[in-house]
Amino acid sequence: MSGEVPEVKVQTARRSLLQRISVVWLVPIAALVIALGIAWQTYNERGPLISIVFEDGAGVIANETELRFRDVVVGVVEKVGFTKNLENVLVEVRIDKDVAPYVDSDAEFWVVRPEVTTEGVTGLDTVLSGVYIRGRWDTEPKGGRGVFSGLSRAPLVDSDQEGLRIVLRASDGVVSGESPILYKGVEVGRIGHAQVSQDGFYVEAEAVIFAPYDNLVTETTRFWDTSGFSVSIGTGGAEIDFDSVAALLAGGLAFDTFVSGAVLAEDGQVFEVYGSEDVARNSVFNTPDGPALNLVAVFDGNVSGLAVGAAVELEGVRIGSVSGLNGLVDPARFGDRGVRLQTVLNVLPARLGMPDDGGAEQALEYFQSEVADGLRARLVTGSILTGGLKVQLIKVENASPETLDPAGLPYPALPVTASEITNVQATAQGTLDRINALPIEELLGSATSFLNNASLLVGSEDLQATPGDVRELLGDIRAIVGSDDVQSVPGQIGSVMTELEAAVGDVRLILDEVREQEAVTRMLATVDAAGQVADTLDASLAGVPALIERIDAVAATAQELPVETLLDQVSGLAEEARALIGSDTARALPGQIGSLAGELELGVSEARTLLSDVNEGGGGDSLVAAINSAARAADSLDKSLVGVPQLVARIDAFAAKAEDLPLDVLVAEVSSLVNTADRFLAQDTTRQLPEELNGALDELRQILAQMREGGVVENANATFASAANAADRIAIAADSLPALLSRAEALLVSANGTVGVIGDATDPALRDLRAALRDVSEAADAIGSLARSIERRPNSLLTGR
Amino acid sequence: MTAAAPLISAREAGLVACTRCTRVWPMGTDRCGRCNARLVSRDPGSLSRVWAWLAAGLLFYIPANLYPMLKTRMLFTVSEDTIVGGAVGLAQHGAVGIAAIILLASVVIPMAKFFCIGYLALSVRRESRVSQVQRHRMYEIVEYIGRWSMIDVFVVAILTALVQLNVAASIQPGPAALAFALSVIFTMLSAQAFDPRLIWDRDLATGPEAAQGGQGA
Repeated sequence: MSGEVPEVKVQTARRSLLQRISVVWLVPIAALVIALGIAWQTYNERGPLISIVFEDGAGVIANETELRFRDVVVGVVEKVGFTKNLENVLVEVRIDKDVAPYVDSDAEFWVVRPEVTTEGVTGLDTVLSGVYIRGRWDTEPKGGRGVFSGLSRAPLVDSDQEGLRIVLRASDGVVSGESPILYKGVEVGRIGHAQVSQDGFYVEAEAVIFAPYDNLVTETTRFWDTSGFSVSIGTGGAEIDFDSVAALLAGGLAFDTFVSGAVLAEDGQVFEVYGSEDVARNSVFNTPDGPALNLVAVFDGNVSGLAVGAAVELEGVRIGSVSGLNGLVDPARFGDRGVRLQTVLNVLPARLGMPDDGGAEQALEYFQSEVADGLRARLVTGSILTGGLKVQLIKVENASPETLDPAGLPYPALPVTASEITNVQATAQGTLDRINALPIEELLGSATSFLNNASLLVGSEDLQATPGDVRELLGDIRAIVGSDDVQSVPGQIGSVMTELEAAVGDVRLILDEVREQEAVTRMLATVDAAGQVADTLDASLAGVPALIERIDAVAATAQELPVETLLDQVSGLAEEARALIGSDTARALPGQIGSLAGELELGVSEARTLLSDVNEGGGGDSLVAAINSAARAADSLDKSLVGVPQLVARIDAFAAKAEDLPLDVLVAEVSSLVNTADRFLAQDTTRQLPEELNGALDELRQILAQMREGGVVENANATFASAANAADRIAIAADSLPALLSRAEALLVSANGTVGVIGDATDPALRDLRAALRDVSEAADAIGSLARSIERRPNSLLTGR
Repeated sequence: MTAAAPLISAREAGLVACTRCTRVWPMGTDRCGRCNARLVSRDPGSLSRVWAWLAAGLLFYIPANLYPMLKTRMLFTVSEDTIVGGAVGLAQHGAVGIAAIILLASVVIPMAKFFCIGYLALSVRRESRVSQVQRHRMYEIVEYIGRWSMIDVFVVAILTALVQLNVAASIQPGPAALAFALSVIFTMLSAQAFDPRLIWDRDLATGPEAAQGGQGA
């Protein structure tokens, strides 16, 4: 290194301040300026801090919970603390500067929380994002205020909803919070939270009718409760009514304006809530409109039975109703700690004939003066059955002076007097006690034992055997009827007839015998005589043509007669006769006649043998004598015939007379005769005639047979006599038969009654009885017919007709 | 040159060193003959710029810590975390290591840088008990480590880019991220503005004898 070091000129830097300070300093200065600017701007834009007092601060978090206005964030909670004494929660909210002027004294704040109600879910977004405070204020900035009291629940109407705000009043809690108000089933309004009114008699709730439905509410609009459901059973069947499920669960109100043309309601108007639509509808017409006067009456003592709605009567006229009831304990006022009943009397001045406007004042003055004169309120029994009470305003004589303070609280108090309550319950209790004391058990015991005895009696064997006895009795009767004696009566008659028949047969036989003896010999004489007769007859016949002419005239006359009707009658007669002949019995008649003829034939043959015997035994002489007699008879006939022409002449005269006869009458008589015959033939008995004829012929045949066998003509008389006797006896028996029958009938009637009494329990016995009765009836019928026929023609037995 | 030889600066040797290519030139040379860089023996405005950047960095460091670094929105909940708050939250959730790293990178290192740069800038004008060698080493460390402070900003940037799950979750940088990034940048600029040769001039400025004696001792 060299020692010479060049002198370095060191120049001392002496520069200006501008040079010394670096331009970099602008950076922190700018940063500072910007920071300060931001800070100032932030401070400048920061709004005022307001305090809201809430009852609780659930979910409200500092620096997170927002204040919203119309769902726009206008502030943030800065602090959540407490008021003095920790009574409430104090939330401090920093609100935006531009909305701060509007947050004035009418601002309302509430915390929006998720709510699940019967009306739906609200505030669902707050479940996740947390609650927020909602504010509501009007659009006019007024004097601000620092401290607000927050609402415990959301107000009824949001700021963006217009509507009519009214107050609903009910006497009990039918008005529940957050219930819908329905109009024809559509929700047009909402009820706010219900609260007890200041006087404590009503439940009141603010309600809103949303626009544009607010013009549906007039001053005469009636609200009623639709909560729950009503069940009615009528002629149309059972009905269950409810308005909507929400109303069913949470309750709801409906309203309607039954009267048109009323003034629209105004904000704040109070409406009564009625229990049902019917009551509401009736109230329109029953309750006079206009202001009501509320009075208060304090009753003491036992006043159960008074209810809201009970009548308030003045001189028997209903002037209002009880609108509120509550207990009252006021030792300072009454001097003891007893509970008294404070009733609110809702008096309608219109009922007193006072005008709507100013009526309440007038009524109050009226009551003031009346109370001074002794008007008192008392409780009287309104309904004996229910024990309901009503309030009666009466004038009491010599009442202690009282006054009505028009400024009384809650309402002017009406003095009271002793109540007049009929103790229906006690009376009813006494009556019930007496009824209770009646020996009903003993009575029932006696009745039971009586019925038991009756049952035993009815069930006794004696009584049970009665139908059997009756049946046996009937059996006896049947046995009597069916006994051989009675049954043999026709048989005996038959045998009598048989005897008769036989006798007749014998007579015929004798006659035949007589007829045949010497017949040929006497025949010639007879023929001779007959020849003479014929001659005489020939002479007689000479007058015949004239007779024929007469007859012809008669026939002509007869031709003019009303033969048609006669023929009709005859035709009817012929029909009857034909029917008669056509009957079975009539048909059997020829057979009978045939057999009778057979019998007669036999009788004749026997007579012939008898006559031959007679002939052989000198009978011929007598026969000759007989023929002689016949010849004489012929002679006498001849002589008789001599008078024939005179006879013809007489006949002629007769015919002439007959021509003059009133044949009309005759025909009419014949006609009536035919009618009679017709009726006769139409009778059942006539129809039975062939039958009886049949029987008679039968009998006759038997009689002939017996006569044939016995051959004793003499016996015939005795036989006839005995037959007559028998017939008489039968007639007597038959006479007594009707009596027997009537007795049997009476017996049957009695038996029938008995059977009816005994009833169905004796069913088998009844069947037997019926069978027996049928048998008896049949037997009685048979006997009856027999008796009738015998009675009618007792001699038919003999005559065979 | 031996190790025992006293240290002299280039300026004492009448030389000026090129700060770019370290070639020394005789005093008075205007530009480096090798790299054409402008040759200045000492930067006269260095300290002024150091202080200016340092002030800016400090200014931005305040909002970087007060304002949230991250806005995390998960469904309906929005959480905003400052640097320290986030680290504390992580530590409370058990991630102590991560919390330590965040605290180290975002709080300790920037603060240390502020202190170091400030100390170095002050020590140029005043006597320091710390030797020049140590101070120079400190400067080198500060300059080297300064960029790592941006790790927090990187984390925020990466998270913001990755976690954008629409409604479910999203992460957005808070205002502190920008402030912190600026703070780091300004701090780094501050460190760069410092002329480390000033460390060695300290003794000359106060007195060559003392420095000489000191050197000689």
